[in-house]
Amino acid sequence: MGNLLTVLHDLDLATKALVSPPPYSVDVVKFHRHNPYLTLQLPRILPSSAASTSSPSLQLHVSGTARINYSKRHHGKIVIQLTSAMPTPPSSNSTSPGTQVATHITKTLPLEIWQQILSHLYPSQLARLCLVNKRFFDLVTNQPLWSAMHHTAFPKETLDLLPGMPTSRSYMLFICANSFLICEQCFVHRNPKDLGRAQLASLPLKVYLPWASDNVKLCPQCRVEHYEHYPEPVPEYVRGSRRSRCDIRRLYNLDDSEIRTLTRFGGGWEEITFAEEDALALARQVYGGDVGLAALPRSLAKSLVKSNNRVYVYILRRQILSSGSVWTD
Amino acid sequence: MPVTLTSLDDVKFTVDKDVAERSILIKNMIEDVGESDSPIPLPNVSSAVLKKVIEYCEHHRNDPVQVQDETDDPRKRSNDIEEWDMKFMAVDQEMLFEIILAANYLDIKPLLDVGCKTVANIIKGKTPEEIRKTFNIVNDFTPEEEAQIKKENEWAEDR
Repeated sequence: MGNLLTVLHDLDLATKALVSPPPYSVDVVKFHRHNPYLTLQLPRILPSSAASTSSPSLQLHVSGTARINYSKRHHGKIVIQLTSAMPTPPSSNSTSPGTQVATHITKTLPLEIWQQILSHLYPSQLARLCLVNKRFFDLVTNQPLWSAMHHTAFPKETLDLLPGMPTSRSYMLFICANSFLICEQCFVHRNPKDLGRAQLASLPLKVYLPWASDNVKLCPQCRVEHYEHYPEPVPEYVRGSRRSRCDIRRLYNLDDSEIRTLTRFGGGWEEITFAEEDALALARQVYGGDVGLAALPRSLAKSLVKSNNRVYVYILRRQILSSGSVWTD
Repeated sequence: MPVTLTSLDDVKFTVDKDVAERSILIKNMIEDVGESDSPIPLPNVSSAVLKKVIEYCEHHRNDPVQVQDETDDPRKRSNDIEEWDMKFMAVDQEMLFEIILAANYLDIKPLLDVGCKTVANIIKGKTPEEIRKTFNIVNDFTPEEEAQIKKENEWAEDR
């Protein structure tokens, strides 16, 4: 490709080794002038042809103004220092000068800073982020969040890890498989066996969080807490409206003991009615906002089957992998 | 008592001690060395970035020391950025990343924090394709890999 330098993407290198013989070469476009060191992790499993020679060959192509100052090898790593001169972007790529920097943004910041950046994101946002490219996939997978979530969601269980895979990857897969039942805010897992009368409304449902610029799935408790700070507006038609007991039951799914707490009108010759505004406020408390109320008539069955399937696939995958077979989905 | 800082490209900046000491690295250096007229070399920071960092430190010179509340949810705090800081961070991507690196090296926690929040806010609410466009990232997955990851890591929809 005639780029200024080199080899890299440790991840690429490691995976390539499994499928193709050496030499391995991957292009690296820019190094940060603050960090002129390049560390190449040599593939852990080298093909037998390479293992026989004392040094598996790594080709380094250097052009532009960068020079390799020295390289040394130890503990399976090759450390290369470049001279301070900043490599110029390859002319073959005639886009804006910023392009080459940007392609490697994930390389320009050290891991612990990415850790801090990603701590501002919700699990569903991270799960989406890992589709960007391999580097992001790696960053997201290695977040300590996944095992922390497992710890809160399943406090009494230890996860059966998938053999031959990084620990955090197992946690992430298992948490994503259970994502239908886990609140993104408090990480509590809802057992589908005890959902009560609220059914779907007692599961995490999407709520728009302004600081997340996204819809995030929150359990009823977290929804109620959220709406305490960001109250939902009371629609005009509800203000001052009075409803019969029957209507309240039907529209807001409240039981008699709950209806008894509402402001009451009439009696004697008049029909007894209740303040609809009170009923709405109470139902929002019970079901976690309007989104919970809207979920009441919806069926849970299909989503639950899909969710159970995903958990089952994880367990199956583990069994197959631990028996030494290959998992094909 | 002013302090002189020297950037990577040998540009000298003279700033007040309380401004320079927003950087814990510099603060510790001054404490270790004692009062001295000799400039403090900062071989990891270019003059363009150092200028920005000093601008930040000058604006925040009187801020009380931040006490990080561990129970604070970083996800909820992510968009509480002061208006001045927001404008300060409205720079091109390369500069943004350089500021973050400099804040990390100079140990200026509030600046590092604002930088990380800014990057998180760029990522938020975007689809993977939009993120690739924003940062000019090439999708290095094969279509099969992508489909597989999508399936395995999908966050369940409630329908």
